[in-house]
Amino acid sequence: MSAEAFGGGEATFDLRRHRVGGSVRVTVLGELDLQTERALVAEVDAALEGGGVAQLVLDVTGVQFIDSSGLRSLLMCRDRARRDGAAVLLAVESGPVTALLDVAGVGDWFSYE
Amino acid sequence: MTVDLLPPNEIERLAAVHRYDVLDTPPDGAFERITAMAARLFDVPIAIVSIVDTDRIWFKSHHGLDVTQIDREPGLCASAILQPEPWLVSDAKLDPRTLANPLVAGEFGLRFYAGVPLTTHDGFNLGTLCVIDQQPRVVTDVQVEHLSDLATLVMDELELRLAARRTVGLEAELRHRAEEVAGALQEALLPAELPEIPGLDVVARYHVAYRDQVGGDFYDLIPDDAGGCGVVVGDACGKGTLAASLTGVARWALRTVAVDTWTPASALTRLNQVLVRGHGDPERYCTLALAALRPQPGGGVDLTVALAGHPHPLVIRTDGRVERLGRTSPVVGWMIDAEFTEVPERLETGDVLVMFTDGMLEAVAGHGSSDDARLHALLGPFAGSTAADVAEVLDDALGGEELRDDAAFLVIRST
Repeated sequence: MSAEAFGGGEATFDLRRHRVGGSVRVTVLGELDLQTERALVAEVDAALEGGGVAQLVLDVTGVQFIDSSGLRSLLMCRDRARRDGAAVLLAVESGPVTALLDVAGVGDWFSYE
Repeated sequence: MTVDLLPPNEIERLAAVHRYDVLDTPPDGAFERITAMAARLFDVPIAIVSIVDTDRIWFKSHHGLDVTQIDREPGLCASAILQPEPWLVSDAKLDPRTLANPLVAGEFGLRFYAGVPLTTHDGFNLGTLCVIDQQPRVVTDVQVEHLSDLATLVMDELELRLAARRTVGLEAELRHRAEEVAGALQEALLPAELPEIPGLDVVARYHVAYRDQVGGDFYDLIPDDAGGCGVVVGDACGKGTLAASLTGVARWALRTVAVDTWTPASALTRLNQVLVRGHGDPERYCTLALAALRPQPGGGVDLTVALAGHPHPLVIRTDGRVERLGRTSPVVGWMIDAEFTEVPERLETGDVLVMFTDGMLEAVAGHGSSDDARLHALLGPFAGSTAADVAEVLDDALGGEELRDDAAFLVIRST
């Protein structure tokens, strides 16, 4: 089902990945939900695949909407990176992501940039 | 109609005619264009797409002729469908095959007829594409070839319509089945009816956003041996059968731990262990608000509240204040060593406790909102109301716009 089916008008989602040495930064833009969570996890999996990642920064400052599935994908990325020995940092500003992290009681499961 | 007009496979042929479901349908631009083109190609006044039914010949398109159907008489279309080749009549008045046909012998005075059968992919002749004139004519091989090509076009259009109708029917059928499954699952995930607890007036509701999709919300009320009960509202992340299975596991696991000397925090700790270790899909979590309610002999209710990543329940005090209950703890089902805190609270007689899932906040405060300020404002004026009245207010709030997410709520008044 497309995001339009929810009547939300123009749904936006985009991912960007930059790597400098052992540090990977994955930037998420737009809506992180049931429709887009898989893309984020796949992106992080791809980033980790080659090995040698010491630090993963998940930049969610550009996320305008996040639901429980979106939170799940952040937790999955965190767990996978840690399993591969990478430190995980969340780059976030006060907004929908911090609100959901607070309600879900998982704010301290992440380290912050 | 004479017996020798019937093809040997007439029963199957008629079944094919009905399969395309074209008889007595309204005019259709695609067929109108084809008959107009055929008439132009042959420079004749009349062109017809005919379908041969049991005892009539019905015209899907009749260019240049004001008749919609004729009897199934031999000589023209009825005979043309008996063979795979084009049926050509240069002068019908002189042709022994056609001279007795009412259209030829009668007032209409048909002289020229060229018809190509409309053959289905499985070999049945449904009818013809034919051109007609009141003058005798000779046709060229090239013209007949063109007519055959146009007949193929007619058949393509019929196949297309059949495929489209089947797809639409299939979709409706699939949706209907999905709704049935979702409905059945949802019922299995919710208590059939809430038990009566002395001292409490309880109403529970479940609002479904998409009827063909089972959501992950649930609620339950579990009476305990001390005359009180455990109440829970929860929400498994995601949607569909995986969310539903997590919901089912969570609800029944809680039922096994919320007995005897249980407390909400200890129950969440156990539930978390069960979900982390036991659930088939480890990368899935659940949020819930859990309260142990103990109605007191002197009136009011003592309660203990624990939250696992869930919005705070609210209490409408009799003086109109709306307060949040509980303290945030993490979601259950993800981290084995998550710790849960519980907070003692109190309902005085007439206070109303409202527990809900985040679908409620979204519906009241807008897409993606986890802010409960608007819900506070909505509930404030209903201080002292019955549980049913408060539930109605929430029902209205959920029914207003199209719901994006499922929502469940429990309203409990201390009586």
